[in-house]
Amino acid sequence: MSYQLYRNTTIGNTLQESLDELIQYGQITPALAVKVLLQFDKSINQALSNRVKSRLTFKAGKLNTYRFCDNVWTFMLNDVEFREVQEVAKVDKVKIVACDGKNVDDRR
Amino acid sequence: MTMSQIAVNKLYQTVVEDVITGVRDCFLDDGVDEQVLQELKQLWKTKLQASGATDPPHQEAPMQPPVLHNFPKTNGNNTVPKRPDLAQQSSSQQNSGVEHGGPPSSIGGAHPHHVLDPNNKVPVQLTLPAQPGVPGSQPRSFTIQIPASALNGNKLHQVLTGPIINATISLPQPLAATLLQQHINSALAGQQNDFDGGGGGRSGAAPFSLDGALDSSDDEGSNVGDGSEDGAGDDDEDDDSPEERAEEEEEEQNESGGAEEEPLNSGDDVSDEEPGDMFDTDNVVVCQYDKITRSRNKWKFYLKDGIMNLAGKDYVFQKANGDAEW
Repeated sequence: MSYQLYRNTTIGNTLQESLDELIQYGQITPALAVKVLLQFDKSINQALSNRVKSRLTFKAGKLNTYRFCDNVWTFMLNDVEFREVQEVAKVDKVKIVACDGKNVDDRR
Repeated sequence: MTMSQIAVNKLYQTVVEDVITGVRDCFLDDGVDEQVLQELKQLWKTKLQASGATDPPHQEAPMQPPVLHNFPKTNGNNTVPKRPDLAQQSSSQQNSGVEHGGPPSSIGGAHPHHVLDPNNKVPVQLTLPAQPGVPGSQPRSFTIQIPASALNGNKLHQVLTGPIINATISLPQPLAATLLQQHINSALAGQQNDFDGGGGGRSGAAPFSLDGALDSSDDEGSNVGDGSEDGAGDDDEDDDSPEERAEEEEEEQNESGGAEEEPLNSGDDVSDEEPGDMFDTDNVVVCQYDKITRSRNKWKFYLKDGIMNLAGKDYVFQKANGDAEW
């Protein structure tokens, strides 16, 4: 089971735009595009869990809004400082969308 | 944050390769040519690169702004593209010395009837600059149709943002023209919806829609104005007024019945983002949670497998822990 939430990222959106174009020009069917997106879900989930090693911390001035619905957390944070070792990135606002990290498979 | 950003480039390349390899059999089964698969890969990579999200922090690729002209005659010679190194991507909309759209008064002189009806299409000549770093690449001009109303209030500036220009710059001319036209049509239609109060739960049309709601290849009405001289980009052009298009969308929505499985990218995917926001620098983290805890108003977040877009740049993390007070 792979989460589809990564479709709403730069890499996911650009893939969907590319597929849209190919559909519009009649080069692929929408059904084939769906298969590509499902493969993307698989690939991105795997790649994130196996290939990414970076760790960071963050501190928010304020948790503005939180929501928990269908096992998905959504947070709106204000004045957030992300930190990776020495480096810092600050943003006024950030939206976090998080699915349950305990996949159905893992729980068994 | 350098580490997580270097990781992004590698990760994305891996994912692109992995997906393309993974769907090769599906393409074969569907009888779709390998060429199309390669095209998909190329499109995807180009768009990824054009998004600027994976650019290294300290060497932003300079990008020329689009050069817009009122359509005086079919004559691209008066367009002087700026040198790439003079323009910064971030400021492409406000760049000095570039003539955008033009004041409405000048249109009034040339095509008085266009101004009377804001839904009339006005041909606007647009020049894409030569691609930086591509030898032999030429600035290219083509004509797109824009509702007269869009010439007021700088709407074009809001619609023709850097990323869309980046995405089209490397495409063949007819494709680029059509893509830009579609982008403008759908973006303007989206704005129109906003004025109408949106409605229908669909918060706006995505610039590109897999469900074909924005099908622009229907009727080819007569071109208003003299834009027809430029056959290249006009084939797919949609002469519906924005309102009509919005109505068609509504109809399509009703037909699809809502409760059934929605077609791809049909609004639930784009969630609550406005059409224009797709390219905006919204800071978003998409990830999974290990644990979320709260004690009084103090929250702690234990996140993993995340992709972040901060100020237009992408980062990835394996783990991210944080805290905040509500």
